[in-house]
Amino acid sequence: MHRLFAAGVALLLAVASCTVDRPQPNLVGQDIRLTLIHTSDIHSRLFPYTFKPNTFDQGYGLLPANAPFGGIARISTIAKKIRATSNRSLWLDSGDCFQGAPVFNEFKGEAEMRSLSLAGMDGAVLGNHEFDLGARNLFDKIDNFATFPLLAANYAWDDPPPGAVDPNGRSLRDVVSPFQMYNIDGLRVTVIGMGNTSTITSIYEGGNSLGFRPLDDTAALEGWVRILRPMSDVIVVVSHLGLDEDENLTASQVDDPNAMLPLQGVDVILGGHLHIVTNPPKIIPNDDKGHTTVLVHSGAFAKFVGRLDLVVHVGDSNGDPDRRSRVTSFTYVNLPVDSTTNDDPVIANLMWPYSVKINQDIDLNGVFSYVNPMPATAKIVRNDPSGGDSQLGNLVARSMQLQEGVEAEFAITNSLGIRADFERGPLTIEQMYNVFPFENSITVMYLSGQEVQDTLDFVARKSASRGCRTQAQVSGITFDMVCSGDCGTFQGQPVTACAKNIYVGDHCRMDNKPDAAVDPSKCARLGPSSLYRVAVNDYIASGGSGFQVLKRNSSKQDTGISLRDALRVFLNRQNRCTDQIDETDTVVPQRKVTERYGTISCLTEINEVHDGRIRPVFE
Amino acid sequence: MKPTYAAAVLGTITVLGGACTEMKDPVEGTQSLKVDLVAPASGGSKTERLLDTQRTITVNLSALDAAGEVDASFSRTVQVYEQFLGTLTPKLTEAPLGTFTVQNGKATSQTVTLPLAFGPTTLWIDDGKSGEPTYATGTSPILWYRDPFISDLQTPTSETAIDALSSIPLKAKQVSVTTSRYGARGRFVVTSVFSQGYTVSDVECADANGTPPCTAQAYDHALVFSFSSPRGADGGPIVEGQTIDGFAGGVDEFNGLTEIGFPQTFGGGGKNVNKAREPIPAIIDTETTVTPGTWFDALTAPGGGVINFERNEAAPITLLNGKVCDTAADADYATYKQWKLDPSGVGGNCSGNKKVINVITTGIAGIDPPALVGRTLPSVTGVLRPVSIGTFNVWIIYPRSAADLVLQ
Repeated sequence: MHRLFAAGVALLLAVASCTVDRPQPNLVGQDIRLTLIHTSDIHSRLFPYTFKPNTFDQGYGLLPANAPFGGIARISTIAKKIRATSNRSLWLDSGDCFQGAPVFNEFKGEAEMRSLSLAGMDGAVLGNHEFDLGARNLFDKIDNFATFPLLAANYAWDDPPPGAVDPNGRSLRDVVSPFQMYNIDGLRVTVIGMGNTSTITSIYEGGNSLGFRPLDDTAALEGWVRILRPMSDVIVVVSHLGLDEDENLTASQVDDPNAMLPLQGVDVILGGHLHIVTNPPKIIPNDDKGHTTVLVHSGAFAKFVGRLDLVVHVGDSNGDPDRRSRVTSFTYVNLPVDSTTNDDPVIANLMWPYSVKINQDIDLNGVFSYVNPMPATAKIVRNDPSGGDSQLGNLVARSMQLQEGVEAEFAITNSLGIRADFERGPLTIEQMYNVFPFENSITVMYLSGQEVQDTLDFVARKSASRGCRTQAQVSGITFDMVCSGDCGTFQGQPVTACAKNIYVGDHCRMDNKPDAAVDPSKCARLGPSSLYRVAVNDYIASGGSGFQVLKRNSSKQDTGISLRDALRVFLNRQNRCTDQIDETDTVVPQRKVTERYGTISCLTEINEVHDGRIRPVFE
Repeated sequence: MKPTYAAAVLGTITVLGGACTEMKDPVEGTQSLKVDLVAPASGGSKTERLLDTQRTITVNLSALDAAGEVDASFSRTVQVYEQFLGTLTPKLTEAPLGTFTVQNGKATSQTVTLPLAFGPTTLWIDDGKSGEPTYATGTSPILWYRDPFISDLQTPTSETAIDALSSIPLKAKQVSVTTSRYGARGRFVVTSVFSQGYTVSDVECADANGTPPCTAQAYDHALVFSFSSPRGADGGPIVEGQTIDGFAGGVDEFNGLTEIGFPQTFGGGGKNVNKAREPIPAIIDTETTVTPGTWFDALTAPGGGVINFERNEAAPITLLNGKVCDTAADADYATYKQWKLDPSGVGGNCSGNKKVINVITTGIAGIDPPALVGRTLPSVTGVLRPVSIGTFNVWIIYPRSAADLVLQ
């Protein structure tokens, strides 16, 4: 038996040691064009979906007339077209291909890894949402389905906890690399991954179920750049850190004599996480001689594919800053993924069984409500223009508060858990998944008045740092979100953001005006020592997004009731449609909603309207 | 030897002997275009910039193969673009600035005149549009033109053109503004801070120490949109009246307003504060004055009419003796909390009146617009922003504090 084993090992070694031999071109002194295909934050939008592109989207070419948008089969077509017009190309992704559409809820990332692999992706960094179903799930999906390298140079892989290890003792540290080197027809390109650290709060705290610790971003990157720069013509960082963090990876204050310039060796940063498009790319000075780093973000939700064409002047000594290869010029476009692009049939065939299975299990096209607020162009938005509470946020919070079995005095949920608006027209199950992609449930807890004050103070501080746009949505409670004012001191320093005038109850403001003061006769002032039954989502209950006060509370009880289901139940209870006309019906114009969809609720501008329960204040 | 073991060894030998090295064809064909600068003799440097007038560029071209030698088989017409401030001009999908003809791998003394350039600029030459393009590309050495001033990114190509209020020459470019057009006496002074950004003016002070008073001219002002609370390079909050070292970001024209998006601010937040450096606000010329033209007139009117607003976009300006219009039936007020000042002194229902200024005082304590209706306010100062969305075209001023409003 042992001989057979030895032979097997020899065979494996033989296979593993097989090499590709190719005469290398002499590129030294030449300007070589390299095309980087960039995707980011695909968020499981593997099938085309419908939404209304905003002003920025339309400015970048995503036009309403070309709906539906996204889809991996189209992305694959675009990638192939790009490759056909470039001699040297590399497709890199900035993370968060997981989470955001029913295909992820159903298949837990298998479809994402398989389709991206078959489409020809060359490498990707780990995003925070890759961990949404735990380290073991991510390991399994990479190990079984990914043919491209997954990267993260800023994670130190500890001994993984038992739940993160497969029966063979393998875990993420066996399938995630800090970097990958590519030889593209003689051009040596090194790609270093920088995984997200700011959003995965569990890695900072006890009970680290993911099995890794975050390293200092700059220090981690610097170490690898020192090693890899001498053997690379181009160094690309593929990042899921966020824009500010990406900028901090290079030294922009080059006139500062004290500035350390550890990362002069980075040529390009392809970023993600914030779902933004930077077109034109940002140009970050990285030394005092006029050299720069190109920084690109290419959007999210499979709306765009970025194409960054670089001209690389190949040097003769990549270890010498004066003689190394340099990006001398570049051009960038982001290409819309819409109905003007045909599916790649290979990818479409791969995706078809997934589509069939999802539609067997979930009635994605099922309509359970109709959205038609006035005026006729309005929709139900997740972000109110005032920066305070929003209609959609209010609906979500109210549904949590009133859910049977919850029945809380008030509810708090994080704004970023709501990922899209309710567009006008029929509200389908699929849209509910797009708006609420996360499998969050309702947690009930008892909070003292002081804990409520601390929680809302945190909301105000966080919101103030984000343009005074509320980072939470509530129901059953009203407060002034002071973004700039007198909020006392902390450790001798003035505090300028806090929550004031907190009252428990509904419709607390005078004359029901959103920007009026609270009428104390209508609601009860928060009592510091009173105890309140509060509904929150399980994400913030466990400290997500920085809700530390909720994390510390020991009275938590997870109801297991999905936020999505609670909202659905709540919306079903709203006023039934009567004579409303289905504006989206192009087959039978002027057909009534009830004739097309049966007895469903109609959501108008009055359902949980923005009422100033969160009022932004600048004192 | 047992059969299974023998078979395994034989298989191993077979694999070892036959499948360990995959030979691939060598890379062939034209790999790149080498661009040598002929004129100007030097492209300058970061510290020694070319003159604005040095826009005629002459180069020699060589097509290079995989061995790094001249590819004599390359005889094609190649396209010429310029790359500056982060983008190609024109785009690759558009007609190029010009074309060069390469014969037997060489082209000498090829000339192109650049229409506009700022900062480090390269010629981008590629073979991307021939019948069977090679996509071989080359770039010139860097041509170092001066970096743009604020006025370069604000000033329209023509003040009398029909798109003078909405067209800017550096739209979609990535700028880094670190130099005042006033040289040593120039400063970048923050004139207002709001929750999602700040405005900054390029001012000329009395001396090189930045001694006030400081003045600004037309188009010297910019709005830096940070989305979140604006902060300096050290993370400290930007405050009104401080002098910054400059800023960088993408230039956009958002609903009529020139914005610097995804910005970086150079210099520490809250440092070097001196409100006396802020430029004195321009006073809106209205029907109440004796000048023949007013800011509310058409572009073609004497004095330029509405272009005066554009010249002061993102700057503090003052309206004297405006009458507060009704708010009760004003959709702008109901929806956006914009109340109106009528400089003609008529007031009343100003809906549809294009010669009014909208004002936003949300966030300023003690200001209740409905309580001001019908009153003539001696002076209202605020930072000027346009909003132009379809038929909704208004000029809005944003008072920075109660001190900007003289109510009686």
